[in-house]
Amino acid sequence: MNEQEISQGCLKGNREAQRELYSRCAGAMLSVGMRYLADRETAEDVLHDVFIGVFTHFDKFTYRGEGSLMAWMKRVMVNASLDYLRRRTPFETVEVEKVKDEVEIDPSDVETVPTDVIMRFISELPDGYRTVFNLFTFEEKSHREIAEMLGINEKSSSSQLSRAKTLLQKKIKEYLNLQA
Amino acid sequence: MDKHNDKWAESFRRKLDSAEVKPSEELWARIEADLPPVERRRFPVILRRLTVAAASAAAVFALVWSVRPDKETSPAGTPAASGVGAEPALVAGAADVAKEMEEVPAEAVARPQAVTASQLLATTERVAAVSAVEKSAEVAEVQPVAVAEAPVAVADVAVAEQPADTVGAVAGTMTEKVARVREFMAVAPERESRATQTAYTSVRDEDEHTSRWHIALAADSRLGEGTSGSVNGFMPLSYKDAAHEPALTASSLFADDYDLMYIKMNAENIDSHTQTDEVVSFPINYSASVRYMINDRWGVNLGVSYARVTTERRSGSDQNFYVSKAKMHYVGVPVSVSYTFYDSRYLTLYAIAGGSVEKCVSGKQVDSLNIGQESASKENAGFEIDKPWQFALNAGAGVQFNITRRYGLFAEPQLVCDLSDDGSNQTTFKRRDDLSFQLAVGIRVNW
Repeated sequence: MNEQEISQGCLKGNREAQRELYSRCAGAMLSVGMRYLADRETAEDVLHDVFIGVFTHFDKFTYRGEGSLMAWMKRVMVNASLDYLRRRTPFETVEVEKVKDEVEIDPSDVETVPTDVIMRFISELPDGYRTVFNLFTFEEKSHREIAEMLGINEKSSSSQLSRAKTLLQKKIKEYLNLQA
Repeated sequence: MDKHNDKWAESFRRKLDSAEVKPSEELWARIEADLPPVERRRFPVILRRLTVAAASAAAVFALVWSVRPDKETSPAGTPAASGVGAEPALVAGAADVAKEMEEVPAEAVARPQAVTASQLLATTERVAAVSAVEKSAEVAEVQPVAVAEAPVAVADVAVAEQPADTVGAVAGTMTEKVARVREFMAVAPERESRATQTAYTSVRDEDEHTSRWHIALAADSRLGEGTSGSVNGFMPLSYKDAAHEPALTASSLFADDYDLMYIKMNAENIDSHTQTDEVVSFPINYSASVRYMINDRWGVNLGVSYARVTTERRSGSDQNFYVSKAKMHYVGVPVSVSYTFYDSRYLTLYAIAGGSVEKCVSGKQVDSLNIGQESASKENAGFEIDKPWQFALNAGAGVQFNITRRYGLFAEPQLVCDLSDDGSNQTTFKRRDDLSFQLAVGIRVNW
């Protein structure tokens, strides 16, 4: 089945099409969820709710070409994860004065670290840092957009991103040093 | 933006954008178990229900056709369900005739039996009086209403206009009839009253026959419905599947300003006291129905009904809240049978039982968000309002005050049992409680 056939099947409530959609998207969506929520069990709970909601609201999706369905599913998972985080705790703010100067970072270091290790490092970040990092890095939101979404100010968004980067780079360097 | 940082972010994107984590084996089973059952195509369901309704209507009409009364065997003396008052009219006419029957007590005159065959045989005047009544009966074939509503006048005129020299001719004709009556008496004395009442009951039968159809207009309300309530806490805007709303708010599916405002409202209320207030209207059902009287006791009712149900909910804090208003329109077909156990000139008492099928034909829900000075609203919030079929059974009693022989006011208290499953599929409210008490009032016209 291609994405269009899956879309049409899911719109009709066809179980086979729904299963196929799950098979294709669940892994990527769970990865997105774990990046935001840090906990696998929580991410699976949210994933479960997302699929239930998607299958019962599938008329909200408009097919726009191959890949649009996956992109939409990931976006839904991001929003669901943010909703979960928002309900759980208010996003912390970081005073500008507490942020150190940015650390020297080498992009190539990221390439050498296994994916699951990178995921673990991200999950170890505090909720606020991790959320801003994900929105900036993977959703490519601006600080202004992030501030509006999370109900914080732009400077706080920028500060948390810097702090997140610093912590991640530190963990990557420590990991590489251990491997070496 | 710093190019170095861009490359750093790009490296993470390349690393994790296509990353996948395999879900637990049982996750799909959990999802599948919680999915609503696959809806069968609506058309066959509707077709099945229409078939059942058509079969029921056909059965009702077959019943009506099979038990339609024979005029000759119609029991005399039973009160007419229409309460037209044919009996009182004949009582008045018979009372005039019986004035000359010195031996007939007044009470007996009040009923047609008072004019018995033996009394018919007694005097020529009485025979002439019977002829006058029969003549009025012939008149009633053409103008039954006139006979019913002015029986005294007709009888009086008929008697007054009877020329003296034709009495003999009339008496001769009457002799044949009287002889027939005597014959009946010889064969079956116990049938005397019925035989002599033939001259009278034929008139009443004509009246009864023209009052088989009744049209009613009514309004009813489920007593006890239309409640208001408040609970602490915030109630999220629910769409089709309220159970999974916490993970899927509007922001999950849309990206417009309204949805961002909903997210902001929730964020603003994180540490605020929230409350949910709900007001459900008193839905009033309007109906028009037709009743066909199979006989003097049993009747079949068929009608159409309309109801509008509205509800309003406010949820959130004092500063940040939403107001959700929903309005739904129902059209229905009520069907029932009635049994009249008492009928008089002014009062009719009956029992009624049946059912109804209703369909929500139109619905609208408007959700308005308020955050301080900001506000936004959305109609139906992008989802399809459920328009379910509703089924119910009802049983109760009816009391009708007969203003005239044609018009009456009625009240029908009934118990209504809702057969629909409207718990999980409603957007904001239930159509009715599973068991409720209903009072219908209206006007009935005998056609």
